Amino acid sequence: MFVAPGNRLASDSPFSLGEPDSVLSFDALGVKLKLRVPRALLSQLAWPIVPGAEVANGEPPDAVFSVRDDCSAEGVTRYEIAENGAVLGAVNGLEAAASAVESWAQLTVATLAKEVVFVHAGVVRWKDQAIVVPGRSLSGKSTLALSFVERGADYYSDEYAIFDSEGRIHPYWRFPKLRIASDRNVARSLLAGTLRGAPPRPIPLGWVLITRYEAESRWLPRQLSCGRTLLGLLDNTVPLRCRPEQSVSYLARAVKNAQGFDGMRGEAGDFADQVLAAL
Amino acid sequence: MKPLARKSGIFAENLPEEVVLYDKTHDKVHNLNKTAAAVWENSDGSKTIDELTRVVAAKAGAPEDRNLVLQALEELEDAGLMEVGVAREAGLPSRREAVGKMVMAGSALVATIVAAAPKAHASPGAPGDPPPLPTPHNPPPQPLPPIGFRPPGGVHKKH
Repeated sequence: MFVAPGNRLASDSPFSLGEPDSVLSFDALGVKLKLRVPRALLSQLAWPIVPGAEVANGEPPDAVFSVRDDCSAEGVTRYEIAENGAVLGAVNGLEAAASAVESWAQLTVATLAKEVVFVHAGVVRWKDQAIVVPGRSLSGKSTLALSFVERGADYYSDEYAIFDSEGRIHPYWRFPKLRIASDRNVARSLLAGTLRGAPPRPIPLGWVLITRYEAESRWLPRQLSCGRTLLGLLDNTVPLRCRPEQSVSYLARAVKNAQGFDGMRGEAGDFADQVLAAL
Repeated sequence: MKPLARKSGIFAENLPEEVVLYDKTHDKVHNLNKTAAAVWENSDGSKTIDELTRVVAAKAGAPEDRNLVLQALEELEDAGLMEVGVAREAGLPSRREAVGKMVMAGSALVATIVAAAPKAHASPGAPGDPPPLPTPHNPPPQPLPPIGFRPPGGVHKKH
């Protein structure tokens, strides 16, 4: 069954299986997930929930996410999310619940995917190599990725850099999650068509930019050694504790032919201008 | 005083001129520059500090620098990479006292991060945090095609 990427799963889609919950099983990068969600929440989830996911049935899941809804006296619906029966927490409202389910599912795939190593980072392609900007949530990865794309770089990811055993970086093919409406409009005009197509090929690592925002700062980086560059990536590597040898090995291979830089940055647009002028 | 490096529970990744160590016991990652790597690798409990200094200099192809070896030993001890705290036992001045200017210039020979657990990478929008900001709806580029397959069987239990 085909559902166009980015479309919402309708409540009467094949994944709706009666009341009160719908069940969705899929496989992303070899990680099998099962979601059990209220039907109303199903319509808020975009497919694929995790980039690269395909429908999978009949196989035991690696993780099961379940969502329980509870309507308060004030009419606010609270959604409690659990993974393998352990409650992760709760949010108010359908949109927040959908976002939380997507985030947790994506993080689980990032943790369990065995053939690759996920690093929390924004990624663009420049001169046929990857510019990787590592960072946790709210570090500005999505905005930075968009700023580079506006200046001619090719979009690869706003959330994860996916490293393979040869040290190449694969795209994380999803629409960027941008908090500012004007940024979202820019992203749609730049990327909507691109993201409907097949993801681009993996590319070697060119540059790692380890940066922190400070208002009115100018990008005056110091070059890092290979080891310090690797450390900067490992500091944002999702499965590092689970698979330390693989994580260190894959990323070490990637950084051997790359350059790493560290420094403060100002606004995303200025930063992108300064970086691309120097590369 | 014969320095002895801790090697159990640690695996090493060699890079040009540097080493990265993953300490499985403490879930920490350390980057050692060339000097610190040579000190750690050759601290086998059989060499005095003077002997270690000669070995390190020979490997680096550089003049002997006992202070640098002591600095490396102190930083390796601080990082938990030595079995025995040799530098402090010797009653030697701390790195900060002996080479204060070098420290201020950021010349650490050993850099360390703590390996974060996977859930530490969770977005603030994940459950348990304050309600997240509204997320964008991706506008459907085209209408959904007609439904045409048999849904799988499923269960409808609450967790």
